[in-house]
Amino acid sequence: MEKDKNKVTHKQLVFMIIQAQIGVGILSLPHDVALVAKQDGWISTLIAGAISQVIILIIWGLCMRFPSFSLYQILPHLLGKVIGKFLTLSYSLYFMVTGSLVLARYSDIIDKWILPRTPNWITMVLILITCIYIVSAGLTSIARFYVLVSPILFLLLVLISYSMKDANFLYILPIGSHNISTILKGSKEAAFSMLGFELFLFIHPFVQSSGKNKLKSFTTANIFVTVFYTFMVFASLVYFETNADIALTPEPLLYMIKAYSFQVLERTDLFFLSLWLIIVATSIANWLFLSAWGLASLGRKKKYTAFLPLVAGFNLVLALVPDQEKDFENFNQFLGPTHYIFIVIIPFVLLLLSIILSKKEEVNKV
Amino acid sequence: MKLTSLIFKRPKKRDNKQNPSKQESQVFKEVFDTIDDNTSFFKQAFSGSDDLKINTLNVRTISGILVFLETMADKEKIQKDILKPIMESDNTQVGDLLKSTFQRSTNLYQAQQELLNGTCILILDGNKKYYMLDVALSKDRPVQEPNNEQVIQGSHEGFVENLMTNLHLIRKAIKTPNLKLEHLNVGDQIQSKLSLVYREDLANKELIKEFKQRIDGVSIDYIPSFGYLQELIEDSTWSPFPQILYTERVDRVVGHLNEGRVAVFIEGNPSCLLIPITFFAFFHSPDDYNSRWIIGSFVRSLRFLSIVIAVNLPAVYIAVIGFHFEVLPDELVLPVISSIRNIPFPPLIEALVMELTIELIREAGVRLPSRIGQTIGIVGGLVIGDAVVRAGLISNTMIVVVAITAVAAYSIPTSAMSDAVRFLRFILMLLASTFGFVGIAFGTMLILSHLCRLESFGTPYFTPWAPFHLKDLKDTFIRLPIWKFNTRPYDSKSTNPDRQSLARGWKFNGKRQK
Amino acid sequence: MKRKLSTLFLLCILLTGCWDQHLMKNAILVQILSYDLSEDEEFLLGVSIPIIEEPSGGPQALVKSETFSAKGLTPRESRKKIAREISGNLDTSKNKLILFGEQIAVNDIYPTLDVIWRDPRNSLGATLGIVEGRAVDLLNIKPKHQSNVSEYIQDALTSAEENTIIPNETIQTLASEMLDPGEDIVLPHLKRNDKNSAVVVGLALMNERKYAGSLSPQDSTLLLLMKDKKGKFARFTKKVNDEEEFNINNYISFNVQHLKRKLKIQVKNGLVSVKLNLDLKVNIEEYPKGDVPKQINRLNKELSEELTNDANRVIKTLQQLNCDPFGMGRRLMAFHPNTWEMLDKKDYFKNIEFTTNVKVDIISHGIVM
Repeated sequence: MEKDKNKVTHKQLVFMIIQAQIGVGILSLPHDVALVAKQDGWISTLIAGAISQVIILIIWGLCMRFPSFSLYQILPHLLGKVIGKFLTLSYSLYFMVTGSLVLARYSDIIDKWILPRTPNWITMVLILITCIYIVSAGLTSIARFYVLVSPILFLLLVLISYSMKDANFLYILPIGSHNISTILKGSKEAAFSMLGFELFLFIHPFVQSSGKNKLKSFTTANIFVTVFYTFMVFASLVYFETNADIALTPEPLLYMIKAYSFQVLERTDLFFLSLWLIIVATSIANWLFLSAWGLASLGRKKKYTAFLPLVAGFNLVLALVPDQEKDFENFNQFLGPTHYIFIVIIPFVLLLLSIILSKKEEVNKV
Repeated sequence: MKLTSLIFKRPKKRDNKQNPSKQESQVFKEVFDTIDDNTSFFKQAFSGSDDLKINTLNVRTISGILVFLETMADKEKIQKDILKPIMESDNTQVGDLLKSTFQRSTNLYQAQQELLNGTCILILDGNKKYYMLDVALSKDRPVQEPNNEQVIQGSHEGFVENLMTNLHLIRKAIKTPNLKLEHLNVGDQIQSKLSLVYREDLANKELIKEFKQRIDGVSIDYIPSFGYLQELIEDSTWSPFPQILYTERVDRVVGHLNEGRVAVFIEGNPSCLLIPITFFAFFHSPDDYNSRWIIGSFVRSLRFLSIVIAVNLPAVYIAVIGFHFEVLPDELVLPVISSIRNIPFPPLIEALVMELTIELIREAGVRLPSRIGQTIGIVGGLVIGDAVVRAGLISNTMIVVVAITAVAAYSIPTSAMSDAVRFLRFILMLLASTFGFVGIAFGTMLILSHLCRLESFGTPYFTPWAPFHLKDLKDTFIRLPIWKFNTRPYDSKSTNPDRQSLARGWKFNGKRQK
Repeated sequence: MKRKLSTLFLLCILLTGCWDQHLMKNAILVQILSYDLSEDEEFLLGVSIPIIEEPSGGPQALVKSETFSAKGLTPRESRKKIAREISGNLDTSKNKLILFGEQIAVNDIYPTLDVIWRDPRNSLGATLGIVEGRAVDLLNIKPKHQSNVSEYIQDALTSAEENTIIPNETIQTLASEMLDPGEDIVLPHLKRNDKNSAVVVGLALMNERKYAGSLSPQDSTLLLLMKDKKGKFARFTKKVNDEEEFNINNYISFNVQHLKRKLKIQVKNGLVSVKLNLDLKVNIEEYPKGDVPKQINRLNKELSEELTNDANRVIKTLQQLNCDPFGMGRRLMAFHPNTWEMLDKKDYFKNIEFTTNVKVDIISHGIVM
């Protein structure tokens, strides 16, 4: 990758992180959270945001010690070539699997809501081709695209806010009726939807700004996502009866706007889904990018684009495996601990190691 | 980005093996001693072409030959500027006369080149030098308003086929010593003259270097028109979007030059290429600046609405009719159903037939003389449109959709962009007929990400939208009042971004004095 | 090369077919669904589909409607039978009305609605209604001024909504209320009258998912006012005088312009009591006796008393039928969760003590005195 060409500004960083975080989970998040934490789900979401902020600080701390190394360079630097390469490969695989899960969930929702008879692999191929095209252009173009499509989030916000006219605010009362552990369990569900900020580990050397500004952008993105999610969860909690109804609807946000009709169009959910597709594409593109980049940094070959079709093919095969909801659960259960390992534990250990070994990148080095 | 780097790299390799014909033209050839040798040299050089005239000149002590191309030189000028002064002057004055009005040179190859430009060459007997004078025949079209870029108000000047006239128009409009012209030649066998025009104090030097580098790397036998040049130097040819703006309007070029962009003229072409350019510049018209800013903004945002309609409307219609008719409100469902109930074709075929018909009508009408063109328009538009509905082949609503789309597409002020838009909608229509709204969403995504990766000479094509520059939106979707334009747009990468400080200083005079 | 391959691939995808295409021109739209139980305990489904007549010169086609019905064990089976009869696929995505006959409504309305929530193509904007007698009979009326039954009934419902006789609810907004143990729904109650037309006869009160009883239009309006759900107009006609000979002079008609509702729920020793205060600002629309300003105090007082009595009567009816349209249970859950835990989840509403007070305030009386 040519370094001078692939630069992003810290403003673009905000949107990149936001787009990476908000993904396929947005539709089902209120349902997942409400299943556990009932009407206190929105508190869980807030807490999840706070937890991810802590992780963000760890990640940032690590990145600041190596201002021009991405994680794929930090790993061999700190742990030696063999372990480094092994971990790079594991990261790559982890991103592949996560990407596949997102892909599978996307195609599941498309299958249920819009295109029930279209074979799933076709909708998957469609989004993978789009994502490959987005990603293959290099970091700067990716960043531009992410910024360009971000207004969609506000559009989604407006659509959801409109449905609040039929909300019943009594549904979220009494606040805090569940004990802390239930709410924290809810946070766990919400935290999975917050994932994506690990993108920072990899792109921070390409951000043209000081370390402080990077943290600012990073935090801004996280706060935005937390508020956005909390609003979505809150909106569906006050719209649906929290014990029975929301448990029956796996995609509450779609349900909420399905009934609304405006002067010239009805069935707003179809438009919502079309917009949501773009949000999903950005997050799948993200996993694709990180995974292909990881594979590329394993070998000598510097171009990650060559690996994109490979990763996409892998994603496709893996995403075709689950075809029942039970499979998704198994998939999720398998991924649960790996998330902790790759997002929290490894960066934390690396940070400790670099402090203990007092290994730091020499500032003069480019 | 990858594509640009490919384009940069390729020419460098090619530079080494320079084309032989180019080198040949640089060889020096001295003037022969005898007139006969010189005569035969020219005859040989032009393969005895019949329009090569070699007149012997014998006036008093002067004897020599006068060489010119009958087809390029103006005989009246020769009579008036060369023969008459020589005849009237006496012996001593002839030398001075020759020195003052003629250019001198010793290279016969240069003479050969100059003859092609309409120069008359005078070779005196026994002289190692020759004299030349520009007597080019000019049969220029008068300066008039270009047909395809008309405005309601404002300047009605347009470029013509003569390079010098065009440059004159620019110089006349920008009276500053900072305006710099550079002449370049391109083409291996037949050379075309290019002229690079920019404001020395504004234009980005790297951009100019980049442009020259690309021109250097172009290796082609000859450049017949700007379309060739555009495709040879633009960043990515695999794109329906034009990445270089060409215009025949003087005021448009002047405006862009003042924003720090570079204009390129080609001899014999009335179009001027402007670089670097963004997507949004194709939607601007000089009219926007000459009307009130509120109205200008309204008209401009209408054009952006029109591109959305032109690209999406048929696709959305197909998706609705074929996939998701539940999005139609109740009041619309029954009228639409009653109109499409008995149509034999699926919506995609229906739409394709009508869209292609409109394209055909356009294509048929465009090259015909205007009177027949009108007839074609009436036959095509009214007769076919009406008959096809009566025959029950195409539905009424489809005609409405296609007509709105056509009107929207032609309201884009630049024809290249309008073509791109009309092309893109076919792709979206195909996607919509297979996947409904999902297809449209993906198609739009692909188009947007394509726009995000395009660059025009190092400037992001979709700026100020991606990358986002809030300040530059002042002159993109809308047009704010002129006094808001204190900085030059980012995309031209101008070296001096400040344009004005207080455009309406008179408003603040009172305050300042205090 | 890569580009060519992907283009080729794309072409393959595009040419293989349009799996999910279902063309609008082939669709047979259902505008009303009606559910009944027939005498032999079988299920009776009725549908009304629009018939479009070719425009005979004018630009707009004339839309008529036709009704089909079939018996079956489940709604799906009946639907299959009807589809066979009309040789086409019934499409319920633009369905606007779902009507239940009394017979089926007293059992349970939820099972028939399940399919509507489950299928993504179905419209959640449909209105529910309960019909006195058989619902399918209502589809067979032939109104004179409107050839399409669906539009006719919809117009009737819209006008009833504007007049605050029925609430503005769709199947979507009802879903949560229906599933909420602390709230019951009320639905429009329709009737086919002798003159072959449909009439909204007030509200059908539901106990959980079962039809329990009904309210007259005027009581319905009062109930909706107590729910703080005023439509465009809320009109009442009351007798305020006795002395006039010609009876029409004894009555007053007024429209509620502003409404203020105060609802307070209190728990004392496990006993739930509710204070419901309505403050109505009304506009006199008809009062042949005239001279309102002089009698304004008397009228205010009398109307307040009368409406308070009516309100108490309505609440008593609701409590008898165990229908809780105010969502008192939900309020208990929200503000007094502990009390709610102890209460009987089914019959809690019967034991709530209501104190209702309606205050009427005449603020205008048209352009004459």
